Amino acid sequence: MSAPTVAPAPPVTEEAPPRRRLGLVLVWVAVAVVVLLGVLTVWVAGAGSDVGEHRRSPIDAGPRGTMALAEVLRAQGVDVTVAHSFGEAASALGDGRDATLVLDDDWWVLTEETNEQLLALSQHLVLVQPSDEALAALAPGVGYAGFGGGLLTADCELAAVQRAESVSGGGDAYTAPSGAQRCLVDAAGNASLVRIERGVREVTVLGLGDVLSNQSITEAGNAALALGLLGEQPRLVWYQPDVDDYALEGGGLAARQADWYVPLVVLLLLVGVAAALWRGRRMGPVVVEDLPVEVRSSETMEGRARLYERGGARDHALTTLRTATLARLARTLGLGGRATPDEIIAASAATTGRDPATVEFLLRGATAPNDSAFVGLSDGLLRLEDEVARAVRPR
Amino acid sequence: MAISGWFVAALAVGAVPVVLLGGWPGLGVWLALMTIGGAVDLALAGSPAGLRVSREVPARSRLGEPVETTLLLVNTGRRTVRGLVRDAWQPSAGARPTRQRLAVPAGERRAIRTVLTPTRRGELHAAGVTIRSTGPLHLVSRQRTLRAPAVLRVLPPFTSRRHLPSRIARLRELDGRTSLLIRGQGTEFDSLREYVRGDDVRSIDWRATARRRDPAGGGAKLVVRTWRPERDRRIVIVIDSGRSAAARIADEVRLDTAFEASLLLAALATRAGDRIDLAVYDRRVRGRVQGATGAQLLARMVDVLAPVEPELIEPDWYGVPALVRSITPHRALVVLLTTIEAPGAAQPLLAMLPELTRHHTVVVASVTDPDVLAAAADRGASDEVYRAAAAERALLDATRVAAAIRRLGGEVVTGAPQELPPALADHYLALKAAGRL
Repeated sequence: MSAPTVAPAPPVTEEAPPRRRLGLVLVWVAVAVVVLLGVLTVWVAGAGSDVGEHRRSPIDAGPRGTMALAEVLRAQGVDVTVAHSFGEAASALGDGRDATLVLDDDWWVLTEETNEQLLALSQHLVLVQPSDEALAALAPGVGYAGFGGGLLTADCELAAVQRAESVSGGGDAYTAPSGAQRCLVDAAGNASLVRIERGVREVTVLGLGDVLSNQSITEAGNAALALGLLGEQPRLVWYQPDVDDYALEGGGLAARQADWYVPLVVLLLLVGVAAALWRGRRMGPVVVEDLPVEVRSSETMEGRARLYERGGARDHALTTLRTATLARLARTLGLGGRATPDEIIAASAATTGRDPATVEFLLRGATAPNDSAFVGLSDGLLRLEDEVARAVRPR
Repeated sequence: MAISGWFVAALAVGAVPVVLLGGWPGLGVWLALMTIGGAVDLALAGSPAGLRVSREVPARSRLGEPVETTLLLVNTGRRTVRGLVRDAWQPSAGARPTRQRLAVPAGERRAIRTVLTPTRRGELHAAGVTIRSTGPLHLVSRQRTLRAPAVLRVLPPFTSRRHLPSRIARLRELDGRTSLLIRGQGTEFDSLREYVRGDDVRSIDWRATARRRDPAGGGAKLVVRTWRPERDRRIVIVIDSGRSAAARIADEVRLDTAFEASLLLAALATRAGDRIDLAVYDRRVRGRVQGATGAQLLARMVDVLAPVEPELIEPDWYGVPALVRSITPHRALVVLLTTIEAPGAAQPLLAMLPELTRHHTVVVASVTDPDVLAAAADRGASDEVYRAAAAERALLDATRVAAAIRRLGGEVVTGAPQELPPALADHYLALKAAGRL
């Protein structure tokens, strides 16, 4: 055998050729495409969603919005301003005279304190489906009384209601104190429209938010009611508070974050990217190996066995087992390869002392109608072989 | 370039200045510090491109034996290269350790040792050497893969060599040292020597006895002739590397069993003075050893056999007679190491066989699957009985093919992977004893 001989390779120092450069670029392009597709998918999926959008928004032309009402008001000469923050609303209102403030706090953002501050801003206040805090602060005495709505007829002195004659829509209903004007009273005796006077100010609580929406503004006398309520004054400020107005004193949510919050998040993201690069950088290219072909030898046998079993080929399998048994018996009995089955059967019967007919039945006649009979016959063949071998063995 | 865990940790520590310095300024300062630190570290790290690598690798090794290889790195750069080295070999080389720490000062040379424990025979290739050179701050590293090709030829293990001593002893018994051997067709005259008790009286050479009569008297000294087995017979081993050789039996590929059997036979026959030629063949000759003798024969055989892998093609049996003819024009013992399985698949082999048996003694050696034998006897449940039937079918098929080969004048040797090499050697000895070579 050859002893291991040392063969120093000639010193070669070349950089491995950049054969994977193009592949790498393609991989990054593929990653970029996947990310872009993901973003697009999220965007498309979110396009139909109304998360983060106000209901009854005067800048929304959809069925839920109130753009139709706002535009008609503008056409009538009302100066409509849409405000999303307290500051905007306050500056739009100015001194608050000859201006209507519509407070549609559909997200229930405003706290009681903020609501109280609102009262000073305007003399004409319309609350659309207000929260309990808003009711307590702006319309004391008015209480929430459950769902209201349906087709309601004019039942009070309010001019807008009178012009509307009938109103159709869904929303809330309220109990009202004795001094208040109760309009659009339903069967349970709860009013969907309540106006109370607080000194020089008048506060109107409108429970039927649907009346304003683009979808149902044209039903019954909804348009007349809406225009009458909101078009009383030459100026209209439509205030729908955003989340930032939640904590007005602190200057909004953003102001409550520490100033290092966003930089810290950015830093953590960078740390994450760096960790990915640290762990992801591999030591040199992957070494590939051509593996030789290898097949498990008994696979054909297993396959044939399953084929027999699935096809229920008991007869065929039994014939094979019998042929093999006959061959082995012939060898054990020393009959040679040319012995006929009859000779083998006779010799086995003679050796074991069994009845030749039973041996012949086992080796020829018996059929296997089911699997248990098949197993039984196979065991019988093995037993016969065993007996013959024991009988032949010299003692 | 690569960044270290220290870099990540240092970046994370930046949370302190971000909070203390109040947000964006803190982040900016820290990122600037990290960038400067990383750049300095990168600039101060020794250049891995300045390393010259060379290898010391043994040319050959036997499967299963660990091999130590040495990688020499010479630093021709100006700065010390410090860091991690990966000496990459293909996976079946079993290289350990895969990563090693290293520091090579400028102008000096260092060696790293990698122990290979190959799990496959054949030619193992070394891939590149990857060096990750870390800067003094341990923040970033420069990385480069240098090419350093090397090849290690892993030879077949020849585990069946443990059967060799007993077979050689049997060979000696056949040899002329004992005259018990009856003169037969395949024996040749060896020498004359004095009769000792126990010798066959038929081997007494009377004429020589008469000539040897001692002139000084003292009685007659009987002289016997001794015989020895014929020598300088030719043996041609043909290994089938076709698709059936790819089958794995009892965790050994058929081809490897064939290699073991042919190595044992060659070792034995060359000791007996016969001449061995070997060819690995499917549709073309994959390896060939001709005209080698003695120790050189086995060395050449393992060298030729090492890189041969089974091919997924049907062997062309009709080319075998021509192949044997090209190896020797004389009568020879032709050993075909192949598979006898199904009668259909063996058809070309059977069709070709008469042409070989007309001129040569032919032995067909085949590996049997112990799993099949076990399956034939295992008959507990119904699915096992079906399996047993399939196994019996396979055995019957093989028996039919073997019978056909015998009818055509060939001989058949079968055995499980561990048993085939000694069985073939024994068959060879039997043929030799019977003088049928």
